[in-house]
Amino acid sequence: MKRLRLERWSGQLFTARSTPARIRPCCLRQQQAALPPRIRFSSSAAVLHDDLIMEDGEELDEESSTSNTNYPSPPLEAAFNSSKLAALHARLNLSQKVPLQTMARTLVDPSADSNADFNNAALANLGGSIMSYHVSEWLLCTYPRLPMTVLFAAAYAYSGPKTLQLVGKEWGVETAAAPGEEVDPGYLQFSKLKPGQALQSQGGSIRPDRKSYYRRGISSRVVYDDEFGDTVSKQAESDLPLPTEHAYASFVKAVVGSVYLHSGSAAAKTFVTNHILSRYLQIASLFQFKEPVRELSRLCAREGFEYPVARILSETGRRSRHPVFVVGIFSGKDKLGEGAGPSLGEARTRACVHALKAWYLYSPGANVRVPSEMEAAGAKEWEPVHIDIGEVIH
Amino acid sequence: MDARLLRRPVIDLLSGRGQCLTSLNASSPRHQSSYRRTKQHLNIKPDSSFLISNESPKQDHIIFNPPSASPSVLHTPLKFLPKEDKRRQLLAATAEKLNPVPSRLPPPVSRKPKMPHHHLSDADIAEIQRLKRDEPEKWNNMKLSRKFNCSSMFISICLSQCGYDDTVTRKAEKARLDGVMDRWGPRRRMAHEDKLKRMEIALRDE
Repeated sequence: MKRLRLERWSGQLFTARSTPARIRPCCLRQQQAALPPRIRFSSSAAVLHDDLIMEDGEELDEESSTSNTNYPSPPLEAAFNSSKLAALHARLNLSQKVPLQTMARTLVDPSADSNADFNNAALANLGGSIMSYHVSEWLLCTYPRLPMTVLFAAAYAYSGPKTLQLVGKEWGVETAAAPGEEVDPGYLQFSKLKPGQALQSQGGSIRPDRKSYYRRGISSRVVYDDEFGDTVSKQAESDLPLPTEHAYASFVKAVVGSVYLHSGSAAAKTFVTNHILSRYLQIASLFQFKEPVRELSRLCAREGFEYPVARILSETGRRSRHPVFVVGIFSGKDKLGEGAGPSLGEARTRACVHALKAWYLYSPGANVRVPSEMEAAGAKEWEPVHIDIGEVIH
Repeated sequence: MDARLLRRPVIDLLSGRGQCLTSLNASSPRHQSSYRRTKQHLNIKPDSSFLISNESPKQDHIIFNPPSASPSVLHTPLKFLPKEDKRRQLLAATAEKLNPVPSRLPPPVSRKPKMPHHHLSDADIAEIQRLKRDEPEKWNNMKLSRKFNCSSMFISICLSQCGYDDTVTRKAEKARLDGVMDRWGPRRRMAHEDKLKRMEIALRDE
C-alpha cells in the first residue's frame, strides 16, 4: 500500500513550507514536549524515513528530511505572504506603524504556542488592562451612581469574553482547525476544546479565602477578583485547550496591546472607543431589586428628602377583571417615579423601581470628560467629576 | 364609551324594529359595520394644540404633542440631581412653567400613610422584649405592634435579639400555611403562581 503525499498536492496552501529559511532558534522552545500531539501534515512527512518509496519514485526533499523540529505556530516571514492578515490589518484601519508580524503574533494563543516570545499572552495582558481601564473609567464617569453589581455586569457586557468573541468575528477572523507551522497566519490559532470535553481547572483562584464557607461578597470582589467580579485563576498562562470565546478575547485584547505599543496610548484609546465603547448597551435592563420600597425609603432618609409616599395618579376598572393603576411616588410635592400595574401593590413596586433606577442611572452627560483625556497635549484644566457616596444599603 | 352606544338598544326597542329581545343583551352593539360609520367613528376632534386660535403664535412654530407613554428612567428627577450639576438651575427655572406644582396632591394609595415616627424609647424596647420572653404564646408580633403603635416589622427587629427561640412557632406557622395551600384547587394555585411571577417581573422592571 502506497503512502500518499498530501503535502505535495496542496503545497501552495501552506505558505510556511515555501519558505526554507527558519529564523527561530530551537532552544526557545522549552515546553514543546508538554504540548499534546497534534495532527500535522508536514510533521508526518518529517518522521517518514527513507525506507518508504513514494508513488512518483522521488526521494524526500532535503528540507523535510533534515528538519524534524516543527514549530507550533507559523514563522514570522509567513506574515508577509498572508492575504488574510493584510486584509485584517487594512480592515481594522490600523496605522502602518503596527507591523504585520505583530498582527500575526496576536493571532497565536498560548494554547497553540507555549513559547512566550511567539504567542499573544503578553500583548493580551497589556491590551486587557488598557481596555478595562478605558471601559471602567467611561462607565464610572458616565454613570457615577451605578451599584457595584451593575458595574461588574456592564463591564462584562462591554469587554467580557463573549462580547470580544463577537467583536473578533465581526472583524472577520476565523479559527484554524488546528494550530501548526503550516497554517495561514491570518487564522486564530489555539488548541480547541473538544465537544463534550470538560474545562480543566486552572489551578484554583488567587483569593486568600478559598474555603467554601467564606462568603464571597461584593466588596471582596473589588479587591481580589478581576474587573468583572470573577475569580482570577492562579495559573494564568496555560497550554490547556480553551473555549473559543477565550481565544477570541485574548486576540482582541492583544490587538489593543499591539496598537498601544506601536502607535501610542492615544491611538489605543481611539481604538477601544471605536470598537468596544461604541457598542450600545441597555444599562437600565441590568437592574434587579429585592426590596425596592424599603430601599427607596432608606435612600430618601439618607439624602434628607421627605418620606416617599405612593399616590394614585389614575386608575381604570378597579372592580373589573383587568384593572390598571398608575401610581406615582412622591417625596413632598416632587414626583420621583411612576409605574403602572394591575394591582396597587405591583404599581407601587414598579414606581419604586422606576425611582431607584432614575437615581442610579444619573449621568452628568454622554460627553463627560474622563481622566485619560488629560494625557492629551494642551488639555483644559481638569474639573472634578461627580463621585457618589455609594449604593443604598438597606 | 359615548352616550350614542348606550342609547342605541333603547331606541331600537322603542322604534319597534323586528328584533328579538335576546339581541338587547349583546354586550357590543354594531357600530362599525359600514364605511361611513367607520369614518364617522374615527373622526375625532384634534388636540387643542393643533387648532389655530387667537393664542397660537402667528409665525411658523413646532407643535410638541407627544403620545402618552411611561416616563423614561434616564430622565433624572430634579430632586435626584446632585448639587453641583448645571442642569439643576436650568430645570428649576423651567420646571415652574412646564410642570406647575399642583395645589392638591393626588390621593395616597393607603389611606393612612405609614410614616416612621420613632416614638419608642429604649425602655419601651426592653418592655417589648420582656413581654415576649415572659409570655411568648400570648404576645405575638401583631399584638405587640398594636400595643406599642408601631409596625410589626419594627417588633420583629426588636425581638430578633431578645433571646426567645421562635423556630418552633415558625415551623408550625409554615406547616399551617402549607396545609392551606394544599387545599387549593388548580385555578387558585395558578393565579397565585402568576401573581408571584408578575411580582418578579416588576422587580426586574420588564
